[in-house]
Amino acid sequence: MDELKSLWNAAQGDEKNMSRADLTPLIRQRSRNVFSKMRLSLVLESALGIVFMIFWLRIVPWLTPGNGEAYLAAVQMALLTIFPLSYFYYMGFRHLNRGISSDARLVSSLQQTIAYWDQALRMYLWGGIAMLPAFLLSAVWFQNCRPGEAFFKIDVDTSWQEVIGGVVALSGFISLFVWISIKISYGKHVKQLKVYLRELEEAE
Amino acid sequence: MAETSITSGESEFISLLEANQGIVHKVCRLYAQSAEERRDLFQDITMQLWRAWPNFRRGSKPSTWMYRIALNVAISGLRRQRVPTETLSEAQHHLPAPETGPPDDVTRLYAALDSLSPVEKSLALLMLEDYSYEEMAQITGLTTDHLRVKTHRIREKLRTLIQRQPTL
Repeated sequence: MDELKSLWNAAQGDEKNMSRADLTPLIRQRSRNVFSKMRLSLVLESALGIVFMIFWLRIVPWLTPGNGEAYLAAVQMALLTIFPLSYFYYMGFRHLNRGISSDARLVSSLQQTIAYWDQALRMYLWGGIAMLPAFLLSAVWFQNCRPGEAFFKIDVDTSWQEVIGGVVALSGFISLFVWISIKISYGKHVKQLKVYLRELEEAE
Repeated sequence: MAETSITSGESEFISLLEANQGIVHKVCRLYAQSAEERRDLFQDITMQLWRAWPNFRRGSKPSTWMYRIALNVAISGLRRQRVPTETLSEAQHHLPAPETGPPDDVTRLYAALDSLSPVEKSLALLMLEDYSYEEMAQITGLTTDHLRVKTHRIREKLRTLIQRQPTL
């Protein structure tokens, strides 16, 4: 071991040390860690969502002039989207803002990071899944308030089971797609962290 | 001129970082392959150190605190994998030139360290830096007995890896 340490010490000292002038700007830059990016993404998504809803409520009277029922359906769509989305984004933002104490010991830090990721990914997934059926149902209602042909038009022969079944099937399909993309994006990283934690904690 | 725009907290932190930046460089060398990745990791670690600065207890050992954060960032952080763009000669230039001992021994040591898992690298680094088991426990959160077992295995593994490499 002494030989290894000698080699190691001999190898140090060749890194070019940075001056104060080089180091100072580093602490002023915007954080690039993945949680900061997720926070920013949440803010942008919620802002876009609000803008879209306002635009939607402005455009519906133009699409369905004089149709109070269609407008009511559109308002319901907007509310069914805005309120759960706001709650979801608020919870997500609060969770991400809590952060992880990076000065914790390695084992604790890994445990916290894993728990943090697990919760964030669950919120993303279930938040989206919970909102989908409500959004799709109100979309169907709105479509059917409009005169003329519409996608998924309900007529007297359409049973409520067909409507619900269609909404559930479509929700399931979209949810599966969302779940797979989340797994691909972040699932592998969380799995790797669990491997590291097991490796640290194993006695043998 | 730039100093007048820096707060006293920032100034104190920068002084600490400047004096101990070798720690961050060592972690970056072990955990990042290319010069660009090392730059990214250096920046990430620096930012985490700055974020944790208000919680740093003055009087406790800065190096222990810095190692904890640097290793946490290096091991837990999700970073974009960069495609190396530096040329072979640039990559070779970044290998340290030893003051003593034949160059190939140092290269073999680094090659062996690169073969370790991220967790093993952290313990190997602390061993090579001559940290006591108590200090390593402060950084890792493992017990000293646990550390004795793990570091013994890593020591043997390093020896085997180095011996297996061809000598020049």
